[in-house]
Amino acid sequence: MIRFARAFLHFWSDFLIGDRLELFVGPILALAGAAVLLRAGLDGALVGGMLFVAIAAIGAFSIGLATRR
Amino acid sequence: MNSVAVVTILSAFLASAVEFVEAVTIVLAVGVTRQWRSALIGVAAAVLTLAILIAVFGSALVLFVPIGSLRLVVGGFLLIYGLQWITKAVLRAGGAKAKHDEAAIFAAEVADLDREPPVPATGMDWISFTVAFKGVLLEGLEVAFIVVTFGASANLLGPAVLGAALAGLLVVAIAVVVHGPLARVPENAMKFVVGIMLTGFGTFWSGEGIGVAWPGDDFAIVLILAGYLALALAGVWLVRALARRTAGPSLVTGVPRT
Repeated sequence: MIRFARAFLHFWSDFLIGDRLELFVGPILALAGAAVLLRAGLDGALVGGMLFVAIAAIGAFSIGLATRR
Repeated sequence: MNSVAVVTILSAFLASAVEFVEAVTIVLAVGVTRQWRSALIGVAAAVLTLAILIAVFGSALVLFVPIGSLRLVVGGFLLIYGLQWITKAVLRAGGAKAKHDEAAIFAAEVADLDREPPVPATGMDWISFTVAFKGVLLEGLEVAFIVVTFGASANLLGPAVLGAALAGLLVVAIAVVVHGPLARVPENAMKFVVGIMLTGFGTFWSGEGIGVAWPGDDFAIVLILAGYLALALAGVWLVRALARRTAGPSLVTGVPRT
């Protein structure tokens, strides 16, 4: 049972995270940050633009990391 | 049919086609080196499993999860998945990562299968069944994931399934005609396009899920996709320039750098 659970978790972590943790954690943090800014009363369109920039920055960061490896 | 439905069909079609090409390579390797009958039974079992998964999870998501929460969670997954696809595609197009080569994968798979015990004279060859089942199930899970998430977020599960089914039929038809690995399918270019679509729609839906009011409503999707496309192309150019600079004189003279 434990072996099955471990294999199941390993499959999903490999499926969703793979070897690029930053591409899993980054978007979650970006969405959490955007939600906080919206709660703080910032304009929705502005937060949308910031979310787009944040996602693009995460992608660029990950590509930069990969080219250095 | 509205534009979102067309984009949903197209996204599901392209993403599924890439995964089906990879699955077909594995099934072909098994069929050619071992036994077609057992391999095809393995394929049928995997397709049935995937159909059940899509029907159960797809329907459950659409029927029981509120659209706001659905778009946040599912859009978030699409965003994560799309970013993985697009960054890999940029690295491949820029020359910093090896391109997907179906002919090489086919050869490696055949070599692996050659080391297995011989095919039984009668009855089922369980190695053929297992390898084909596993290959189709794993590649198909990615298709199921994209179809369910994309279809559920847009509330267009039917068109998403249609796009995936069309891709499956087309890839299988071409494989039957070619009778070899589909090495000429522009997989990397397709992954580039799908990566942009998944990331763009993932950003839009997850943003809507947390309450972002996108300017221009649905038209914002076009701007987001165009923005990611421009940035990804710039990324390819930068990675290529970086690779050229790093390789330096060795590319010109053929002398390896020390």
